[in-house]
Amino acid sequence: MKILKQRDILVLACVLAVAALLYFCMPNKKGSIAEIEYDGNRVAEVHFAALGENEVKTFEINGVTIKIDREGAHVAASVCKGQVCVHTGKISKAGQTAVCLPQRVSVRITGNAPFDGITG
Amino acid sequence: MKKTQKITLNALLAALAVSISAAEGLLPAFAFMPPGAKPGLSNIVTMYASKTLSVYNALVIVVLKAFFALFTRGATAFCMSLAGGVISTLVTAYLLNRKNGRLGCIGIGVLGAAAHNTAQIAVAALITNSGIFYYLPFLLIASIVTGSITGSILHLTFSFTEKRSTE
Amino acid sequence: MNLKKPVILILLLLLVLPLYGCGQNRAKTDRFYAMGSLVSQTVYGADDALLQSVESDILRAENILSHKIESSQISLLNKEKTAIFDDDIYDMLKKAAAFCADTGGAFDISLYSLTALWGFDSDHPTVPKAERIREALNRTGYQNIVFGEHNTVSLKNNTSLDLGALGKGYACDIAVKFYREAGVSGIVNVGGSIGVNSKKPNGEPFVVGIRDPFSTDPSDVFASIALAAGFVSTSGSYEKRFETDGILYHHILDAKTGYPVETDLISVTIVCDSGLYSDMLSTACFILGIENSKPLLEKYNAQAIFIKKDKSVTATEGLRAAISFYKDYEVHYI
Repeated sequence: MKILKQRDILVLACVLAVAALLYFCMPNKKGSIAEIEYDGNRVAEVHFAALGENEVKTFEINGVTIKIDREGAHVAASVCKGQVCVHTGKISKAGQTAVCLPQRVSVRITGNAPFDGITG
Repeated sequence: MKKTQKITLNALLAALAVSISAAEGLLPAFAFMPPGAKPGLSNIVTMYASKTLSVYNALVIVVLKAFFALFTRGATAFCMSLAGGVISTLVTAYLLNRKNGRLGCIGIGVLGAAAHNTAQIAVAALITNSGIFYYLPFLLIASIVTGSITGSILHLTFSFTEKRSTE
Repeated sequence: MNLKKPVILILLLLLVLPLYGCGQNRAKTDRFYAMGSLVSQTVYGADDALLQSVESDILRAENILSHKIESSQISLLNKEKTAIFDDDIYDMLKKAAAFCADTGGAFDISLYSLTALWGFDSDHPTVPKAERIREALNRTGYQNIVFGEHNTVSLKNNTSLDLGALGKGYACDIAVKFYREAGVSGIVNVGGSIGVNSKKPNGEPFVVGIRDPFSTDPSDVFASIALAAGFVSTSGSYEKRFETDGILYHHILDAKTGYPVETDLISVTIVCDSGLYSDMLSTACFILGIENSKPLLEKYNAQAIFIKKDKSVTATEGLRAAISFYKDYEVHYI
């Protein structure tokens, strides 16, 4: 069996093309809302635009601590074993998600903000 | 291959797959990758199994790997491992055992890796939310790299074992 | 394989096209601090140069209009009682003074002696003594603003100007003017005053949420308005305020008494086609109350939402189609 045929290059190029397509057509801007979900149900929603300059909102859900400020959201602490969620770091782009799979808690950034701005 | 040889080979490969998987589990999270993304070197084992034994043997190894993940990392890891393993094994088994229009090892490795990653993202999206698809482009590019590596090692393994084969 | 070359070409094309197509409608956001608040602007299909131009023009305006900046033209005017302004600022000041007259003095840009006394922007605002308020009142009054030749503005009777009630709206005007001239869709938010130009590239209007004045959560929205163009500003007694001896003092002052205006309103939101007027009207209508605001709203072709302390909501008829309510407040249209 050969290691590499001409066809293989084609395969690689196709995968690359699909990746590029997905990347460029995905909304890439900083998201406007952080949605916190537990077991697939939306538990909380924070609009970045409505936060004060140094304001930090903290949420404790099923053993997972999520902190949200103007710059983004991150999992500050979790009771899970892997701590993968905590190592994800701060997310701020639309589409990004920080997930604690064992605890079934996630915080996701969406750009489909129902509100483009809030007055008041 | 005699029956006893088959059984021993199965056992060896299963143990190998699980230990590689365990070693990879110690790696830290990578930037731009969803937390938990790994190089997937244990797939070399399953791909080897689907060619030298059969796709069913390879699937058993996949299930064993998944149960190992269940006992060490939990239920969600079990689902992810199972989904990725099953899909990529089916894909690579099909590609490896074709008579006509065969792909080279690198091509097979890349497609297997891409299938593995996509299946896992799909499962993760079901467990959490569709936002996780954000990582798909990065994972696909990674699968080109990891798939090429696993494919190359697979090829080396084949040429090595074929030379030494006494069949 | 002869198939390979054309296939690779097609693949390359596939790679290039999305780059072009998806880049056109990419949203770009910029944030900076000006006019005493956070300014956030988002434009579609425009470059950083546009965002930069808007930012520098708004900062320039702040450096002219802010009474908190000692070197600003306004501070100079307040000190020397006479100053010369650039054309655009001079025009804006004339409009503002004319608006003061329109409201019968209920809205007044010359209340600096009073606002400085109350100090709502400071860390510890306190209730000034009655005599000091009386004395400060003598140094207010829009009639004391004199517009002279060559863009000169003078102040009589030791009056000083505080343009806090129109700075944000004016900044929105600056931004939207840029967006309009560049022909791009964009939204600017200056500390709660919002300006919008054209619909988003996907054909949808911008959606502006109105904060629930009864909630301490600033992201708690009770209604939203869909806008394809226009400006929104809100004035309310629920933000800048303090409590002493069980009495709540908010920052919107009654120009006649020198004390926070007594009203059953808690918030007024104005929608119209000018940032400057939306900002001025929101304060004016809060002071005047629903009935006395009606002629003003008509004159300036503005829509409004009044929220009273008893949670009843009154909105102008023109908003019926554009507004969506998320909470169960009793709504009455006029």
